[in-house]
Amino acid sequence: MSTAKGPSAAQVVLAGLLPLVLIGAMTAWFLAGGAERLGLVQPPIEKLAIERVVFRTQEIVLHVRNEGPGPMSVAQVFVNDAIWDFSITPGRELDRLKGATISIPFDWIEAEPYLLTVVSGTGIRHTREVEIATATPVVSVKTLGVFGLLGVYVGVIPVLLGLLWLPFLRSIPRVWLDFWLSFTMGLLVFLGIDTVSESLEILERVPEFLNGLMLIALGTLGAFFGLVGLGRVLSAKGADGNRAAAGSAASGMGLALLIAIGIGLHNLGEGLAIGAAYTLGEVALGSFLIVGFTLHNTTEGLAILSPLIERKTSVRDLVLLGIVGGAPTILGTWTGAFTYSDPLSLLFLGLGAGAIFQVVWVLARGRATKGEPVVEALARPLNVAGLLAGFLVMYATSLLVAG
Amino acid sequence: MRPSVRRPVTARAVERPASAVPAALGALLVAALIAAGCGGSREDAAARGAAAGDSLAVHARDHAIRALTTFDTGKVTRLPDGRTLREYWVDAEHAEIEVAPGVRFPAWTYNGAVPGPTLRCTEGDSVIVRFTNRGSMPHSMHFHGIHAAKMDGVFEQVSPGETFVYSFNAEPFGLHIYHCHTMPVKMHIARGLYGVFLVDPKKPRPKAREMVMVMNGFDTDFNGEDNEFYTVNGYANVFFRDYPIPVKRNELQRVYLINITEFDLLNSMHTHATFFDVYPTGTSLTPSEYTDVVTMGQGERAILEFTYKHTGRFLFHAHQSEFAELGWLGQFEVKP
Amino acid sequence: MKRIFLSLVLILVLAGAAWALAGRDKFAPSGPVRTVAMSMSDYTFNGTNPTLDFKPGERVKFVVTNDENSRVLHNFRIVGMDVPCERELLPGEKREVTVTIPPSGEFAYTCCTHPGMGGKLVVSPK
Repeated sequence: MSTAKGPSAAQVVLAGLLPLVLIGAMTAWFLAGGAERLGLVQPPIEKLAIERVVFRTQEIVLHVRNEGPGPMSVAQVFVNDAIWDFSITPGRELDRLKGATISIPFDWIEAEPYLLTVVSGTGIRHTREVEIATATPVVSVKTLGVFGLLGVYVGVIPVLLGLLWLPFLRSIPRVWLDFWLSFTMGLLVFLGIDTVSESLEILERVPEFLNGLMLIALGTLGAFFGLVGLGRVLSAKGADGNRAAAGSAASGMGLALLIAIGIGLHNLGEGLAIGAAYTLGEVALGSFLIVGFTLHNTTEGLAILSPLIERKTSVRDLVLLGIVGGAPTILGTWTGAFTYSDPLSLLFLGLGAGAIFQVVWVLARGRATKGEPVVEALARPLNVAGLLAGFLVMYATSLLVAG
Repeated sequence: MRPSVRRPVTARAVERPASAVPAALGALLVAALIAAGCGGSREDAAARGAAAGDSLAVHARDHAIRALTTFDTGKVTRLPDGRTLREYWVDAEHAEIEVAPGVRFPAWTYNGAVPGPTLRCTEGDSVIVRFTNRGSMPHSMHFHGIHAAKMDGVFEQVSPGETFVYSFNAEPFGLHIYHCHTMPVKMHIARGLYGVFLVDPKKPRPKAREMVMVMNGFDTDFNGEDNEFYTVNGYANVFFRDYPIPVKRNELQRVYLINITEFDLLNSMHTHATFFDVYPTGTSLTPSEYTDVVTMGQGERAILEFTYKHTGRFLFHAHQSEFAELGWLGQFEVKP
Repeated sequence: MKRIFLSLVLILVLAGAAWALAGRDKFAPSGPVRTVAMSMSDYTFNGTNPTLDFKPGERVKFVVTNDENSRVLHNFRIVGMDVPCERELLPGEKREVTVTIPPSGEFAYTCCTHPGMGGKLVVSPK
């Protein structure tokens, strides 16, 4: 009897490893000078990213990174086109992808714009403009409280307020339900597109080697498919213990929770944007802005309600859903204010957008009756009206937030 | 010969535990290769950069200081008619220079540095300049003076490797300049091809301590629109940071001041705590003004004469503060 | 299947660790405290605004005096090493501050009220 002996586990690993080893060896050789020997001379495109600007007492600190293909040196620093003294650590010479911290002794003035320039050894200027100089917040009980409160006002309270629409939704004729749920979809589509557009703005500042666009894509696709998977899990269990009927992804509490998580993820990105905008001096945090965000987010509570209209829900559950949807804003605001990083922000915004689109998808499928294609379902007059109305309401409230 | 013993194969395949050894060896190999490629090059880059930079910095500083008081009076011989013949040798060469601490610039130079040599003669002298182009593109020398068309340095461009002999009489007396006149002239000047051409009057000016100051700018990022640094004699802030110029109180100082700044319409010089007599272009022995700020367009020049009444450190700089803050700043240290 | 997966994870972890270790600076404060005296007098430190050299990790005590023949108030900071400006010093007054030299870099020391008055601390590796 012959038994074909399959490859042992070790052989499988080695087979997988061999190409990697060869690639690693080739890469190492290139980096160690092989490229020059082959005559593959690199064009001297120099790129220094000023990743972060921090304003401290009588000091401006720049966090920079060499994103170009070759080594470069930091030679001079200008503040508003004037040569200024500076300290630099670990040193002036930066190899590829290495970073440095530049401290400039400068008596900056609150709320004024500053042009910060680093001139490299080859004479090229690398500039970053700060529109409004504000002291970078330092973590303390007070600042944690202030930004936390901001998150509560802008995130938690509006979502909870939105949940108060439940009695209204329960008492309207069933037919109108479609309208309100399509309304929710319309407003969420707006949010999703808005989030992507915000992330594209930040994309300009992110070092190219990090491929920011892919970070956004990673976040979006990750959130989308992650939540689809989560939806499966939640529908299999069901919040009230029964196995949900086949067909829809989930119903009742499970779906509402899914939507709340999606909105929570989105609000995480929003909180990040608010916290960062304040710190980067890009926005004057006026009351108009806060009112705008509040209105904007109240309608999100509506989205969470849609699967709960036909079920009995306790107040406790509602409050919990509201917190799941709103509380991440606080976390986002803290992250944005204290530890802002552009690449991280892109990832979060991508997550937010993906989550939103996933919720839209779930709601869209819910509009269709059994066997009906989703697109046809959405084309029904009531649904179209709802979609447009939702989108327009968000557009109108966004004008208050504009800037 | 004993037959090799065949191990019995049983129906139930025994799965051998995965041997960790090949996997671990593979991991170590990959890790070692990656570490070799990445690690350890930071210090090398720093050392290389620092060493090269230091010598350029020293060269730039020394040249700027020497250019203050170095006059090339040429090889002097007497002509049959009694006039003086002066011969100069000037080469155009491409050189990497430092224009501000740590900032390198691929310059086009006369005799290896910016500004080029100060050529000095007396009115009426016969002047011969043997110009050799050691660069990689055409250059020329255009003198601000009175001379024949063929000696103007415009239509007669000098190709790489060629030599051209400029020959003319030194006239009129005054403070003049020479620079490259190859198209695009903006670029050839901005890259550093200029120097001072000083023609003394037949009756020499009164005895004074003389200094040459060439005001210029460097467009280090080559955007063709603006300068990143402004300097006197080629190195930003050299007379503020590296070499405050020593001056004797009450001694007559004479500054030969030239503006060759490209991209900016005007440049200026302001002295603290003293006023100077201005001789525009140096073509008159009577000053036209007594002031402490003199402003000039590109190509203009003037002789300034002043003394310091008090001791101490006094700044001199462009009165366009934006130029002063980008390297056009110096100080005089007045001692008794 | 699980074993293959685990082996691959192990390989990645080892590779990552090797890469991280390759780029690390070894640094720890060391040695006795070295005192450096500086005197501020009318627009220079020690007359020449010297460049001072240090090794990483050195513990240094700066004793900075406003020279008694000074005609103005001076102050002192080291940028990037957490030595901020404090109140101005009268002629004759001094200020002491002890620091641990960071692993590498160039640090500007300046007088807070007089720009241009100051020099550099350079940290050179051993």
